[in-house]
Amino acid sequence: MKSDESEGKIQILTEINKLIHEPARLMIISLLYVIENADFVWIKGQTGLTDGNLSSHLSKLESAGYVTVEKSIKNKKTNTLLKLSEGGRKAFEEYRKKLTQILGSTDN
Amino acid sequence: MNEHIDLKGLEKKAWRSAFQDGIWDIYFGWLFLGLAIAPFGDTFGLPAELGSMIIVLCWNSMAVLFLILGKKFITIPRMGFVKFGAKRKKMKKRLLAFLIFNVILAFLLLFINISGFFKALNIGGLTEPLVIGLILITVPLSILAYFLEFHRLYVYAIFFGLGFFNSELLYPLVGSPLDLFLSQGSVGIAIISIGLVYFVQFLRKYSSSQK
Repeated sequence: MKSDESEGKIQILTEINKLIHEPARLMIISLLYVIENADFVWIKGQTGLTDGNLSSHLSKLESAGYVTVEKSIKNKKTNTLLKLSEGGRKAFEEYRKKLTQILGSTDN
Repeated sequence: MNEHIDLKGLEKKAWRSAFQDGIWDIYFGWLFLGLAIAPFGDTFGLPAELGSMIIVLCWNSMAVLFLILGKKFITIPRMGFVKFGAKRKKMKKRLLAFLIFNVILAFLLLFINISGFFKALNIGGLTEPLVIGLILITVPLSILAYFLEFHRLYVYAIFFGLGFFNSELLYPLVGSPLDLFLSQGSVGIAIISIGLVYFVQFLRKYSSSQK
């Protein structure tokens, strides 16, 4: 019986969204989940990531369709506005659900 | 589900980061200082009440301008822009409703005061400025602090509310209008100083090179 239970947990582990599971991306997506939108500078300040690092993670999240990136020119400077897409919101909720299933069951 | 990723805590931390620049502290200190200089209205050759009103109006307008421009040209370029979610929007609506209610209440109390109701109650002495300060200043500001989740404002609310009481204590020693100037002015300057400390720390943390 116990072995079936462990197999189930391992099965859920394999289903964890690896794109979101990476710590820096998890931080970015968690922040975007609790707000409506923010610019690049704000996310950078909150996460403590470098410009290059943040850009790289954002590109991956944008490619997956989790984050929408809107570029505009404000006071002759590029302004990058970031927002969690509907798909990103659902994926993050699904990720949290899976994580709760795994971590919740290991509490016993 | 929040036990593994504390989203509420994350949102609160993000919201409270808006107060780390010290601009809100300077703004409130500036407003409090306005009350300290208001009694000097007659120095412009205007009737005392009108002069005081003009001083407070100009002073407060400058404070609001400082808050808006400070956030726009100092905080946002360094810290970035963020728009919070539906929960905060709801909170903003409640705050607006509260502020409108507060203005109506202040006018109501003013009319009640003119009608001589408070005198008829015969509270008198030092209790009157204490009660007025706490009801008209400390309570509304504390509610504002609750809505804004700006915890330092609770302390400012208490000190500012006690200002009228302190001015009554100072009156026999320094007379009017120095009593109000010293009691409210010292609170205003202390709050501005706290704000400046936060402001300098903010500028150091978010230097212009980080822009």
